[in-house]
Amino acid sequence: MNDCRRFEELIEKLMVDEIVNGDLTLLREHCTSCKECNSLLELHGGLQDLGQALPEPSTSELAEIRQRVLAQTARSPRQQSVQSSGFITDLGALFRNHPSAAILAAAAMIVFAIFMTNRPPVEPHFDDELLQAINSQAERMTGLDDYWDAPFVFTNVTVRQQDNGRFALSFDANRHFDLSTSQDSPLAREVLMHAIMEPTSMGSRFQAMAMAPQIMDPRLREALIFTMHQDPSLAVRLNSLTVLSSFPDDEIIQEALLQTLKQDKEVQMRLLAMEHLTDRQVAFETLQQAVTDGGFDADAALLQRTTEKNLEF
Amino acid sequence: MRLTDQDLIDEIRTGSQAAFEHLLRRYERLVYRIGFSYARQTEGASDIAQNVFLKVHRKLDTFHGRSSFSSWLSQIARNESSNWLRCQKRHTGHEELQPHNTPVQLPEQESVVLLGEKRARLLNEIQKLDERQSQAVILRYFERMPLREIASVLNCNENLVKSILFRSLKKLRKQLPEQERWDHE
Repeated sequence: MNDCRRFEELIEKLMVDEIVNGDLTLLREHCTSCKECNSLLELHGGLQDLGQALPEPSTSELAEIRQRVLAQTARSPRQQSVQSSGFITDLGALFRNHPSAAILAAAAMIVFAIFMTNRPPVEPHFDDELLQAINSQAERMTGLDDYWDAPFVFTNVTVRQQDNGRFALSFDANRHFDLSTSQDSPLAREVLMHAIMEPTSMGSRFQAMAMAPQIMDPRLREALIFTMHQDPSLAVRLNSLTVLSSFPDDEIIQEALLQTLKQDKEVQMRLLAMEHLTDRQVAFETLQQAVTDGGFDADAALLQRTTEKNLEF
Repeated sequence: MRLTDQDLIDEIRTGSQAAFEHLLRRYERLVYRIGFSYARQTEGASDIAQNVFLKVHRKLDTFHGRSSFSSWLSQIARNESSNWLRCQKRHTGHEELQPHNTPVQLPEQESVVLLGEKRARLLNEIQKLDERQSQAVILRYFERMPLREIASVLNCNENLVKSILFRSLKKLRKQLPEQERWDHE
């Protein structure tokens, strides 16, 4: 069975074209005598075959789609996003002919800048069309499913808490945003969720997780549970587990902890999950069952610890 | 000389309908295939493709070239396909009956005719994977996207993509009856 783990890694490489020829031969040899690995290899072949067999649309079907699309786009031609070149040219001519107009315009801009600097902060959705769209989308989101379907892709996400209790959000979604918003805003929850899932920065994930309990809602809970189960970093998964454990009455979290006890490949995670589940007074038989279902190497030690904790109660 | 996607996009932004038609012809097959992999029927795939290109036409100003155009387009196609499936759920009244996360079961007859029973069954099982897993499988096997691009679309690192793909494979094996796994048609 230990052998299979090695060959499973080779299948994983095969799936993304990273396997080298020698390894492929070894894998094929192994699969002649191992039904489990062979079934995975066959299924990989089945998926490739399905990809090739997916129907190509007929020429007439494509022509029909094209005709419908072009007819509609011709009826509603694209609006130009910027149509200012004529205006700018006119303005240039005005300033060349009347230098005093240029001085007046500059003074007006300085006054406007001072006014803007002293203005109280405005919630983002009032002054930016794209932010408004992201905020509206955030208001409609109800769960992690919506995260996968989100029309906006968030990158470089960080959230910091400001002295005044507001959240400083920084992220790219088509373009970059830096803004301050109240903790209650849907956008704050949205960006915090993305920060928890931010793949490029472990620091951002830690920072976001620390802030999540302040505005915990079902979506953030889902994001934290996802991180606890799927994050590639053990440190992040452990941290996520600790944050989730601070909600002792939440049954969904309890179920997620049981999944961790059953499935996480790292014994530290299973041990910590077990400690928290015991603190929640989950039935000993349930814990024992979860440990046994997992079928990992360190089961005996974990079961021993489960028994000890149970006796403490 | 072959015009790049960016050349065509620049042309479309100035209002060129011919450039839009050129771009449409370039990607219509890809979008149709993504649509079919979700809808599993030709009519649905056509509807999805039409909606995707209308959306692209409307939203082109929001494309800033940070990812490739094909990635951006594929993302729209997948979102549109998911929306199409949701609409089908509503129309067929499945929404209330299905537990959360369970994909709607659409009539399979057309996909069975087009692909054969086993492949149609496999396609059906792919839709039962969770959203991220099915996306990864579709991107890898149907769109033949390289690992790096899948990671960028799924907004995660390459190791996580590998692990998602492998878990999907194991889950599919669990979902499929043993006699349906082995030989392909």
